Amino acid sequence: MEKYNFGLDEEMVKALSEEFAPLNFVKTLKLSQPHSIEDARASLEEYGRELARRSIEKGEKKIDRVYRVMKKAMEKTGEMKFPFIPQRYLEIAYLSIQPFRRLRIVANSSRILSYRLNECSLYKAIEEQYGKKAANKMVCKSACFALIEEILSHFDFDIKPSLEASMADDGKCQFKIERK
Amino acid sequence: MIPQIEIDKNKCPTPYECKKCLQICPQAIFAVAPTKVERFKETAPEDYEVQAVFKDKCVLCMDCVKVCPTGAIKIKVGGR
Amino acid sequence: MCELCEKYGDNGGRWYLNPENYARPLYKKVEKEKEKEPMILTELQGPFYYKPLIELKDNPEAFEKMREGYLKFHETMSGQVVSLEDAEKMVEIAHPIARIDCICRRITRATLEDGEQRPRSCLGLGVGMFRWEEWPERYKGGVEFLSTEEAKEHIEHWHKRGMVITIMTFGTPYIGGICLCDYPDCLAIRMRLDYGIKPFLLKGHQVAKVNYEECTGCGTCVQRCQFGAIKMEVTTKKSNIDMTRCFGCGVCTYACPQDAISLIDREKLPGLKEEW
Ligand code: SF4
Ligand code: SF4
Ligand code: SF4
Ligand code: SF4
Ligand code: SF4
Repeated sequence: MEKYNFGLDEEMVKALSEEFAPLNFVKTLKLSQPHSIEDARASLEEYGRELARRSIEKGEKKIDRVYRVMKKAMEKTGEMKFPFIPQRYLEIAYLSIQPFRRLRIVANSSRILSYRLNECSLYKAIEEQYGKKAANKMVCKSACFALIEEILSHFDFDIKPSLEASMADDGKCQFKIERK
Repeated sequence: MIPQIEIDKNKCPTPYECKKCLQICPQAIFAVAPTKVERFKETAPEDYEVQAVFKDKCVLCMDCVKVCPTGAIKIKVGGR
Repeated sequence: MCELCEKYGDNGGRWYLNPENYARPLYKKVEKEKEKEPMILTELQGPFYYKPLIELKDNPEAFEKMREGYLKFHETMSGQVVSLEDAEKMVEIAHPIARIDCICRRITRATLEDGEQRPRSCLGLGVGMFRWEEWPERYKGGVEFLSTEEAKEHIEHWHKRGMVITIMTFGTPYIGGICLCDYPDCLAIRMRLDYGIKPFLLKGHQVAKVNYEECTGCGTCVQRCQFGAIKMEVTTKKSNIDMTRCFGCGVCTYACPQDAISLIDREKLPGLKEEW
């Protein structure tokens, strides 16, 4: 039998992690200045959206064995585009910018895609640069929402994600993407 | 007393292909399994082994001994 | 309440209807080439693993002592009987669903389920199925991905022919498969019934009850029970189900031509609600 590589393309993850290094990006936010929060929100959104675009662009070129088998299964059954296509791109994006090795998936059924982050490099970078108070405003969630929404709309899903737990209040973030 | 049922591995090189004892035993006491499993590889037929597992259920009908083409199965009644 | 529901249920619901128990990521950041999964070996060797226990059968004290270790092991690889109705709800939640060869029958009767006469009976669940090619020995003969509807047809097909529907975890509470089982070739039923390895196969959330007014005493159901819970009561000319032995699989309800047997919720019966 042929030996397959089931993992994500390492070069791709490395390139994305350099392009979207959280600390470098956070330094450009100037969150310490007054009235800058709206600007920061806008650039976080842009960051999230761009991360989604680049993950999809690169991910569609680097087709690992899991993705290939998954595509065949989708063709055969006519199902599973949700949750697995969005799940794949969320995993590529988060594994590129976050320290953890696996994204903690809470649910990936035909109706709900939900995941949790027990640590977050973007939040941590904001905290380091601008202090805990700034981080706890959770402006960073604009980046996550933009990331999710861009991925969903790219693949024609009309779903609104929600944040069920946040780093500021719960010490972890949990997102839920639920189909009606 | 649980009967002692031994299978001579040398006389039974590819049990998964023969499978006569496995299929005839009324008590389904035998099991066949690969002794090693590798990634990206099917186990070779010689790396399978048959063993008498659910021995406490054997009723000593001797069907397995009769059906075995190589005389690989030895059953000792009454103990250890 | 069933202990798995208590630990892994979603607000008092049945644990196997909680989507969390099927959730896994698709990827790991660095996929180490040499990472071994010993579970695969244990699973494929099946009963070889139980042999030391069985050899102690005529030494009750030693048997009991060793059995404790097996009970512990099966907290990580456990199972439960489910009804057809619940299984159909499960395949709405769990994806992907892949038809695979039954590992137990391969071990106990050396039959690979291929072709018309012995079509495959097991269903593998979850994203691990996208990586099946890593273990060609485990998935001998390949896998076939099924749609939700196809999976329902598959389960119904086997269940109506007399197979018990069970689910298996691979690292409890992660549910990795739906099996279609019978005695003696399925190891979970056998290890529970013959050797008391309880967590390997818990009883289901229902139990069967005969409606004596409808039962004509035809005896069809008696032959179908894989758990030996039904007898024909000669004097009354009715079938009798011992509800303390019944696993609630529902096979008899489909076998009965009079529709005289129904499944009722275990938890509604104070005498059975702690019986798993
Ligand atoms: S919303 Fe949560 S996960 Fe997203 S960047 Fe902020 S802290 Fe991190
Ligand atoms: S003697 Fe009969 S019951 Fe015992 S193992 Fe052989 S075939 Fe099975
Ligand atoms: S019948 Fe004899 S040769 Fe055939 S599998 Fe059994 S022990 Fe081996
Ligand atoms: S009595 Fe009916 S429901 Fe109960 S275990 Fe037997 S076949 Fe299954
Ligand atoms: S199959 Fe139905 S009618 Fe026949 S004995 Fe069983 S319960 Fe009675």
